[in-house]
Amino acid sequence: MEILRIENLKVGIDGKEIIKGLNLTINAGEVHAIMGPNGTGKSTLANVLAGKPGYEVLEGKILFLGKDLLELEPEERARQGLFLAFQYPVEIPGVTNANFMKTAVNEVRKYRNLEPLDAFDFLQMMKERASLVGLDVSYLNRNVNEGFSGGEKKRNEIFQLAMLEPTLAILDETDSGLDIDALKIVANGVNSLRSSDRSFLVITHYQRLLNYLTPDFVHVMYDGKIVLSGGSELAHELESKGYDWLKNGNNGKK
Amino acid sequence: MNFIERVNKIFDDRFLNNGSSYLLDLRKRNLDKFNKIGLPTLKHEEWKYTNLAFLNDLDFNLLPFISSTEAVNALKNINFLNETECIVIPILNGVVEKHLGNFEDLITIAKFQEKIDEDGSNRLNLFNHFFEASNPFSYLNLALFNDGVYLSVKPNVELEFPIVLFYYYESEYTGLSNTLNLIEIPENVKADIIILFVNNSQEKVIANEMTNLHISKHANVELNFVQIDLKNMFLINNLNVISESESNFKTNVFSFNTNFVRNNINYDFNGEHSTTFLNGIYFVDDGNFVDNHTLVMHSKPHCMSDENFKGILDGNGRAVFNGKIYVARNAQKTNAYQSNKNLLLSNSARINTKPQLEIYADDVKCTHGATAGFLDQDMLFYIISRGISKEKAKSLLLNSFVSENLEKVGSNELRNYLKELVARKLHLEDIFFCSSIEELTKVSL
Repeated sequence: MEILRIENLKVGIDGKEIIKGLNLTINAGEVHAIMGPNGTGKSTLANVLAGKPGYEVLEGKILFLGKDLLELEPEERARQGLFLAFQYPVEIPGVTNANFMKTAVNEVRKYRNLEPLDAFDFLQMMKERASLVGLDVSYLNRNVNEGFSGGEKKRNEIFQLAMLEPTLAILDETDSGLDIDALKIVANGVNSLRSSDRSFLVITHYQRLLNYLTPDFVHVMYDGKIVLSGGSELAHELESKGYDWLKNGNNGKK
Repeated sequence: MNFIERVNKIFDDRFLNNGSSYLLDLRKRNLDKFNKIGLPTLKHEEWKYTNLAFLNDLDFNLLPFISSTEAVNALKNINFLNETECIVIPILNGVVEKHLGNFEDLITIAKFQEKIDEDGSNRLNLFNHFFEASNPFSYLNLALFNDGVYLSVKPNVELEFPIVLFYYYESEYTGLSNTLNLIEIPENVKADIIILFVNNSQEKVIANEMTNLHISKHANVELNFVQIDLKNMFLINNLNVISESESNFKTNVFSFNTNFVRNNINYDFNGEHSTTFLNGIYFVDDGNFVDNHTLVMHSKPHCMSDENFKGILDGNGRAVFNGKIYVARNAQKTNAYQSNKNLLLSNSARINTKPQLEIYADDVKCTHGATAGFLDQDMLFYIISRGISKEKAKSLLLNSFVSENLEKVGSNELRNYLKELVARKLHLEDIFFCSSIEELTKVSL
């Protein structure tokens, strides 16, 4: 089943074209990785998919579960099963993780005509999902990301992913700023959330996350386009040859 | 008749042939000073953004005497007072009701004018430098005060329950109230005071209330002002504090949905190694106005003051913040901090904020900052991206903005009451209250 289809997407910010004709199709249960040097539009793609304001879609279309994604407000995209794990998670003083997640999960459930979860079930669910990424339950009573280390913030993103059970999860540079132990924890958390009805789009600069998180497909993005696609072995090739290899005229050919 | 003429008529009718010669002299002196300055206009530096011209259009008299029945009912609706043990001193239309006497020999409550007749003027003289031209309402209060609370605590006592001054107003005509309180906190006392205003008047109330607080050595005082839903009311709330050495003072001022509030908060360090915290939260929406004027005088060295006011402004709501820090020449090693942050939710809301630093010492640390801005779009997007509606996301951020200052309230009951009030105002009750999640997580941790 097709989850996401992007056709000839062109996106600009402040009149400057960042994504210059991108095509990508993700089917149910697949894990896709997008790699590429800095400044090629990887995070722009993640933000456009999640609906962050400030981006101008110049051309092309995005279908999510067969519907025009660009017609949906960001909160509706989330409720329909799209999740973005942020590169820079935001701190929200005065709002505990527990209350934040309760609000989000119940809004999503309301949208799907489901009853709100009762407090006991919800707590059980939170404890179980927090343990997936090694977050102690005490984190649930702390304010969202406030005073969290870089690693804790990223783990919290994966915890939220686990709570919201999306159909498509986009991980934007989730590995950046993580030491090797934190990276393993995050990758194991993600692995345990893989299933036949959940797809992932993993955006990363480095190959190291992909050592733990074997993708089905690897795409290389350069200058606003996907210039190369292949299997997980492509990540290793990139790691050994470096991105300069792309810049030296190997566009589109492997 | 304009405001000044009405004030003078009230004086002639009600006070000229009343009270002791000492009181009459005090009243006359202050009325003269008030008359000389008159009602401040926008040309008056300290009243530049606070238009009082409407007072000239009001036909008013002193508020009537009322019975306490309605006030008692109003008290029942304020749930934090029912949940906690406390001493409530009702001040009904400016008249101190019952509850006078001693409590377990710990607390003395009397009528202010009786106290001043006994001991002469000494007690008030201490505060004289606060009664000055920049705030003519202090003169008006001293000229026309009809009643007031004298409050004291036995030395070396840590009070376990708060003392609540409960101002209640109810009138069928436009009325004026001037209450003059004196609170004396002796050495080594710990006291928690709440000053609560409730207005149940159909007609307008002009309340010009004043509290003078003296804090002795080693004493700890927290004073919370609760100014909520004050429609039909023009409140000028004056607080003057003098603290001796090694004392701690904290005040939190909450103004939500108020027609017109001017807080004049003056603080003077009269001893070394003391600290003071002045905090506030104001929420203004259509037709609301709040003006916080603060003065912190570092008259002595080695003291610390920290001031933090936060405001949310919506609709055509307006607010003013003016924070003055004065550091005397000999007040070396002073630490003084001041912050006023504002969130504007509409294009027609307005904040005028002005920090004023007057520093004559050379070895001091003083910082100040004022901001006025809109909600952080990155934070907003983060919340929305989890499936939460824009309205709710906005509310969560507003709650988050004020939570820092809500947490500063010492009394659990009052803090929870205010938190719940904010949550309700932001339509977040279902998140912060009725939620057993927090309880459950606490239990299971």
